[in-house]
Amino acid sequence: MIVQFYVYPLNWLSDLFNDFYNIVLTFSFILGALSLFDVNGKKIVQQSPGWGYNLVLLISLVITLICGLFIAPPGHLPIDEGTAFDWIFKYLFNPLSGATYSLLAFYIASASFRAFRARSPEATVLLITAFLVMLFRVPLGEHLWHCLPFVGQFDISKFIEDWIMGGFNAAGQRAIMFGASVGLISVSLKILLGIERSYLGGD
Amino acid sequence: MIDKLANLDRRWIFVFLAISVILPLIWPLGLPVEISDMTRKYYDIVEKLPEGSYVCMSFDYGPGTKIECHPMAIATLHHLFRKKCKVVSLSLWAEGSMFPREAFAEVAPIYGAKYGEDYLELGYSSGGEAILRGMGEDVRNIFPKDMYGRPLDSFPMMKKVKGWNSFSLVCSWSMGTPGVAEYVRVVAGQYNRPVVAGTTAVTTPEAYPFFNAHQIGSLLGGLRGACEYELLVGIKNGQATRGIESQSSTHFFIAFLIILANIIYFAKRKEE
Repeated sequence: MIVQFYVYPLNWLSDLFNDFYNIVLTFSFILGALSLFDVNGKKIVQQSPGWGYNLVLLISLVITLICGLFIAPPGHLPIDEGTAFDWIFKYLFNPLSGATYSLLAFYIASASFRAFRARSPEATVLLITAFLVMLFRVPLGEHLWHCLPFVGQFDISKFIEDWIMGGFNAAGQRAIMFGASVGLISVSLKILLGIERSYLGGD
Repeated sequence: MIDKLANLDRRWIFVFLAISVILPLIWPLGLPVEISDMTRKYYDIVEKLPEGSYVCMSFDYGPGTKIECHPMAIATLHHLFRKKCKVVSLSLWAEGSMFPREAFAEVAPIYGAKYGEDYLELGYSSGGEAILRGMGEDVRNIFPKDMYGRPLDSFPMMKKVKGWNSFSLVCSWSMGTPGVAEYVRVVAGQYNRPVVAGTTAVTTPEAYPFFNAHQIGSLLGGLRGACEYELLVGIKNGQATRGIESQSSTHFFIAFLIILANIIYFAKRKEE
């Protein structure tokens, strides 16, 4: 794959491996569904604590699967507008998923009250940076900033965009990206060379 | 008093947070929103597209982050249809494949855009980066049919479309992986096509290095970016514009909590 990236005539290799990858990935969906049935089925049979949730999960999975694959009025596909699958997506999955995600805001608020303290110089720098981004990247913060005497003339949004986000943040993100990529290469090499075998169930 | 505050029941925090979200939605303040350079650049890139250009839009988000990414997609669609561009949508996220239909249904009738002539939905295919590589030379390698099972060649607009080189611009609105990084590696990196992106506020910092390195043309960051773009495109009372004041008040409330928590922390440390 690395060679084909640089050598154009070998691009067909990429297509070939892409096809392999897509086939494996498609089968992994089946594996995932079977695994869900296995794990949750056991809990339901054993009536482990909270088994009702496992039952709901499996029932939802089966109903969505059936609706998405088979149920449609004549001349329509199951994914067309107005079908049962479309209804499940619009009126069940959409609001439930949105509500679950929005709960994060409440937990963040609670966590920020309990954990975000200026305990060390590093934490203080993080706190100040977070403060600046949080307050002055929203219209209310910008408006209040411009009402301040003297400093209000200074373009705080541009400072945040160019220096904090585009400068310090981008540099840090790049370092993380490079680090993760080097780590990925090293793990891949270990797997290819047979040094790392834990994925086969060994140590 | 300090002890009482330190042990504040978190349900009070939840109540006040809910109030700070709801109040600006009921009584908006109508605060001015400054347009950032990044959003202006995004607008300029779309504005400079020649009429009738082919644009690929990737809806790489789920319902959880729809509130941030969907307004970007809607505003971009307005802008593109105004310029009579041809739009092809796809999704690297299974959940995302249902959103193009919603977006097209909202925007296309305003401009008289028709399915198959002005826009088309490819739908979802699993594989992330592999999908983008597979589409490189010919979209049909991965999507021989549209989302509704009709052959791509049966649509007039698809006659001119082969691989990535057929597109004048590729937009990716993403909430994570697969998303912007995959488009940068394949579409911008290998096929040298211009890419613009829209990300959730949480993932925006991760996308900044791509913007700084000019690997993406521009970036809309979170609800704020969406709101700025809505204003530039001229969408009145758009979803992001309605939500941005709630975000403002919530940010201020959380900032207040952090200040309060630190006052308590230092007061307690002094006592000890």
